[in-house]
Amino acid sequence: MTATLPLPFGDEIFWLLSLSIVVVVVSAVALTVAAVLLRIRNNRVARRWTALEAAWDPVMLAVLAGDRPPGDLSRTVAVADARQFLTYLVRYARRVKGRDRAVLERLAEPYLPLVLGELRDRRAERRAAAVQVLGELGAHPYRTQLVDALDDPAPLVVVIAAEALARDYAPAHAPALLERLARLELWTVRFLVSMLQRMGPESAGIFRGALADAARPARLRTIAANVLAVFNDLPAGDVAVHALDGADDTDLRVALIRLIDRVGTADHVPVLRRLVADPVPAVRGAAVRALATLGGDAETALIRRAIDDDSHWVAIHAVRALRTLGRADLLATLAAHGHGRASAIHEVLAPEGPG
Amino acid sequence: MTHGAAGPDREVILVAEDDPVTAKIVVYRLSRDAGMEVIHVADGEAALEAAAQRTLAAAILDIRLPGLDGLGVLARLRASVRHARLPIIMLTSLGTETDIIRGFELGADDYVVKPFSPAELVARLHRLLRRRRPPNPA
Repeated sequence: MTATLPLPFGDEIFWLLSLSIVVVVVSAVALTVAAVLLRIRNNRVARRWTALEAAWDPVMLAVLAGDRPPGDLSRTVAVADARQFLTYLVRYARRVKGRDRAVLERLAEPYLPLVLGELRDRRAERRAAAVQVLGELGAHPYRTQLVDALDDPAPLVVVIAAEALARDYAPAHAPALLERLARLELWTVRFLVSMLQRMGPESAGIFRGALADAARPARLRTIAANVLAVFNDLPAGDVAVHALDGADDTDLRVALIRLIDRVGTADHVPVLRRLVADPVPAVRGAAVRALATLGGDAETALIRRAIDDDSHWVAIHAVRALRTLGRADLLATLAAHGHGRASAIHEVLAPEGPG
Repeated sequence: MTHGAAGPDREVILVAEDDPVTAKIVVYRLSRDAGMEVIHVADGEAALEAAAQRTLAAAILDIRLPGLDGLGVLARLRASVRHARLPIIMLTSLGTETDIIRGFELGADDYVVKPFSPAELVARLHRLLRRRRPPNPA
């Protein structure tokens, strides 16, 4: 005779557990099906867009070349595809200028109001995409919206708006653009300089003003100095010399010296001589290079002494400065006599490869 | 890929550009010109291969090519007697002054900065081709 042991839990718990397992399995299957369906839908949309763009391409190329009127392309754009058409136009607009760009702006004009609503979207990437469309295809008529986008909470939106405003430079909006640069900490000085130089030399006065204003952040003034150097802005030489007084940020001071190197005159040489004795190696190095540019042969002795600098960095700059002055003979003599920086001299004097 | 009808009298232009949209624009503009056959490649090695196989009238090289870049292609072409005087235009991005200077040092005839005007690019190419052709006898 066998005895049946009672289960340690009741039937209710058994059924509850079973039901839970069924729910988990059904949910997993449902999620998988949903993912597959979403993928199929996305693939279908991508295929449709690829087909649309393949159909637009030959007409677009002919329209841009002036072989066909813009209306030939506009007629092929269905209302439902208008937003995709704008994205397509942006792709072309980023690559061309002149008449081709004007044609693209004309093609986009009727559709641009479509993206205005996206400027208020809660997703930053949607707002950024809308600002990009307006910036590339309607920067001039929609400049107010672009200026407003400089105050967007997302830095990505701000940088895209700033890029568009820099390209479509208007003096009235330049101060607003400079004010917002402080928010673009994620972007390098080099990137921001490259972006702002699109404002062109006619904007140099704005940057000179920022450089002269000691109350401005050092990073902003560093960017201004670099942009002015790109512009080869001659009046900026004196501004840079004055800005050096009281500037204690190393990046700013180096940028100012490089600006003097680029646009300065022999009048600025005494300032550079003082900076060759600066406690910061980066400043000494930049000063040595600028001294060779502006001081010429008269500064050979001072630059020669900089080769003995404790900093290898400064010594390399001094060697390059002497090469700039055409004193390879002096460098070769130093190296031949076993100077402590002989390896640096050999490195700088070595002929460059074919690259 | 070759664009434009091939023919014995056509001038063959090599376009080395890896960006598909830029390539489409340049190739279309050159191909519509009745006297040109355009060979488009998307990397440096393919550009050298095309230059070895065909007799080129000119080349347009993007500086930023995958693998061997445009400057590398330029240096290799200039090193060969066959392409020492081939008219070459470099396509470069804004703010790459160093690349432009390096391009001229290596023997580029001209450069065009992106974003670019396709009409200006074609005009510059025609100017180079005209300079290369012998003058018509009067």
